[in-house]
Order: sequence, then C-alpha cells, then structure tokens
Amino acid sequence: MSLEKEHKKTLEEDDEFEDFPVDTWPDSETVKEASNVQSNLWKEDWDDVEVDDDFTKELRSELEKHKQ
Amino acid sequence: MDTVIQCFEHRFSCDILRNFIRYDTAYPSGTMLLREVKNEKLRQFFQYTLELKQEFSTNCMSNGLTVELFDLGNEQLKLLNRLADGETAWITDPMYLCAKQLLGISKLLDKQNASLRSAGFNKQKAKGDLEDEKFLEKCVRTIHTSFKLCLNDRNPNACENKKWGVYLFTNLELKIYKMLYNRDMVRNLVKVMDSRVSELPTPENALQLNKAQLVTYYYYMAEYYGCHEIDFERGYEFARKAWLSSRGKGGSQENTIMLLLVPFAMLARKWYPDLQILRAKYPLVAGVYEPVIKCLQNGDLFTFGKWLDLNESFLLRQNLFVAMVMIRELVLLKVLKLSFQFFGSGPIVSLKYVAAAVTKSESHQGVKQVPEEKLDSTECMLANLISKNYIKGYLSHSNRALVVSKTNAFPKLAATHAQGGCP
Repeated sequence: MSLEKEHKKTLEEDDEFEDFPVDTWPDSETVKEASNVQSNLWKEDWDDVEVDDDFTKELRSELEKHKQ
Repeated sequence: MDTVIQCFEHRFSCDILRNFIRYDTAYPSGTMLLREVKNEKLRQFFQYTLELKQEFSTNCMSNGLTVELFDLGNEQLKLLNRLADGETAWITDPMYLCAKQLLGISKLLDKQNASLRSAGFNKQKAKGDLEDEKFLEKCVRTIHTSFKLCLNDRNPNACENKKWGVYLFTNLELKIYKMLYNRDMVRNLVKVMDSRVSELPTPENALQLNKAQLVTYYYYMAEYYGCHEIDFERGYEFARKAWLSSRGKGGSQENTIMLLLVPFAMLARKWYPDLQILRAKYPLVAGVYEPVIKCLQNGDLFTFGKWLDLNESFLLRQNLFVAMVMIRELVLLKVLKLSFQFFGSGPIVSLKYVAAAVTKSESHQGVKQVPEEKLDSTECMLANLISKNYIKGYLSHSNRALVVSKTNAFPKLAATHAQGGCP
C-alpha cells in the first residue's frame, strides 16, 4: 500500500469529528499560545516560487518550439 | 440517590448526578424511596433511569445493545426535557449528558443493524418505498427538543437562561446530520442560529470553559461554510479559529481540522502551507496534500488531475471535492505565468502559444498542432481569469492573442498577513 493511501485510510477512519478526550485545556496549551507554528506555517509565494523540476524543464523546451 | 434528588431541589449538577444518568453505572445507594419523590415528572425520570441501568446490566452486557435500551434512553431524555421546562441553566448539563448518551446508543444500534444486514440477517421490512427509520433519526428528534428548550428560553435572568446550553445541542445535531448525510438539516439549523444570533451568547462566551465544544462548533461551521456553501472566506475563518483553539498536541481532531484549513487557506487567502512544517506537525495531512502543493508551485495540471481522480471518493466523503476542483484554477494560473516567463519580453502573446502551454501541462505530451477548439477553450479560460483579476489584460479574438499589462500582468493574489490578519 502506498504511503499516500495509508495516510488517506487513517484520515478516513476519522471521518467523523471525534469527541475530545477532555472537556477543556488551558489557553497556554492551545496552538495559538503554545507554538510558533501558526505564524510560520503559511507561505504566500506559490505564484512566484521558481521550480526546476522535470515537468518545468519539459514545459520550457516544449514552449521553445511554439515561440514562433 | 439522595444527592441526585438534592441536585434537582437545589438546582446544581455534579458527578453523582452525571453517574446516575449513565446506563453503565451501578444502582445508586441511598435511603430515598422512589415513591417518596413528590414531583411526578422527576419520579418518572428516576424510574426510567433505573430501568435503563437494569436493561443494560441484564440484556446488553454480552449480546450488544438492545432496542429497549434505546427506548428507555429516549424516554429518559424526553422526561428530562419535560423537567427542563421550568428549570434554569443548570439543567443543560444533565440534558446534554442524556442526549450524548442517547446518541451513543443510537450509533451503536445503527452499526449493529448495518453489520447484521451485511451478513444477510435482519433484512429491513419495506414500508412502501421507505426503509425503516434509523435510530439516529429517531434520537435527533428528541435532541432537537432539548435544543429548542434552550433556544426559546425566556427567562429574563441572563445568568440562569438555558440559552447558554444551545451550542452543546447544536454540536450534537450537526454531528448527527453529518452522519446521516443530511445537508438540508444542517442548513436549517445554521439558519435558525443565524436568525437568533442577537439573542444568544456568543459561542466564545458560552463555551469558554469547554474548549472541546468550542473547537467542535468552529469545525462544523467551517465545514458548513466552506464545503456546503462554498464560502471559503468564512470557512477559512472558522477552520482557523478551530485550529488555533485546539490543544496543539496533534491527534485526530487537529488532523481533521487541517484537512479543511489547508484548501480553504489556498482558496480564500491564496496561501499554502510550508511542507516541511506540515510534515513535521501533521504528517497525515501533508501526505494527502503534498502533490497538490507541488502542482500549485509548478503548474502541472496533468499530475493535479491524476491526484484528483485518485482521491475522488476520499474527497467526496470529506465534502472537499468541489474545493479541490476550484484549486485547479490556481494551478492553471501558475502554468500561464510560467509560460509568460518562458516567452520573454512583450505584452502580446499568441493564443496558440498559451494553448500549447496548457495542453502540455494537461497531457505531458508533445504538442504538434493546436486545434481550433483548443484555442476557443483557452480563450474562454483566459476570459475567466481576466474577469477575476487574476490576469491584467485583454483578449483580441480577431488576432487570437492575449495582450497583458506591461507592468503587472499577474497581480499578486496572496493576501498579505496584514490584509488577512495573522494566520
């Protein structure tokens, strides 16, 4: 089974939003307070980021043929 | 038993009352006799709760739950609903426990029935064209009465008003409607809540001592707005709040929230998650979305389409298929931007060149000739992107060309953190 399939299977088992094991927790334990993940997680540069993979190379060489 | 009676007399909830309500706990000890309870409704509530315990210990311990257990649990909540009519906010705690217990029984019974059916037993009798009602459908009717009792409480004393408990029952109902795949009922419930928002405490106030319920409420709202109403901005806001209020220890709830948050952030804010951080913190979610993030960066429509095909049933079950189809437009935009970069200078680009880029990206095959219909469909795609201000320019249909702005052909779409608020 591929890794992606395994991930999906595990997430599908959580189809329903499970009940939390505890009712509440202190503010200091929330994602907002407990880590800096929230400020570093998001990136905005998807439309500017330069990728140099096989697909991009193929696209470039294909488009060279269509320039004129 | 005496403490349980005192709870009703002095209007407070405690662990002894909570334990008494449960079907799987022992008979309470105490000196009070049932016949000495003067309040008829209360006496019936005690009576049914004791019968519920009896039914479980006698008939359910080895052979699974029984329909009788459901009926008794259902009656238990109905009786508490009747008692709640003249009660204050304290009663919402035992009501919620009863409702949650009833939901648990219903889920298990529906599961038992489904496995019996799949094994060839217990074939449902047809009632005309209708199948027998599920236990979940029966239980949600009683839970909805609890919801209405809270929603419509007119107690002028704000501290004692049962409206404080409304979100607990909202969450239960939303959970059940999700299990029943009943979107109409979700929409009705959200509309009712929206129409009464000025009378209700905010979820943040009502659930400030119960973050589990607050996060659950945010999650269901995120799913409703993003997946059902295709309002990604509101969906993103609720998913973000759910995530930020979560415990930060990973776990299935956080994974489920991130599963919504990632595509909603892409669509509402044009943000994507840093793969390294996502992998470290939420490896399961990263495993699902990694190919999408890569396609977003390199404009590979073929791989994106393959991913979409492969994940179709998973995405449909998660109500995320529409959102992911809409992300395709961003992948298309990226391949167009790349093709402009490769084209070099000049604001006028032939439609053939653009169509060749799209064809290459869609098929991974060499493009010998671009057929006329491909030019038409490319023109149509470009018109859509221009109308959304994703591309600054115009189409010259007669010259089959795209003319773009010399300075800013592809305006930056991502909301800056200042525009969008700190994520």
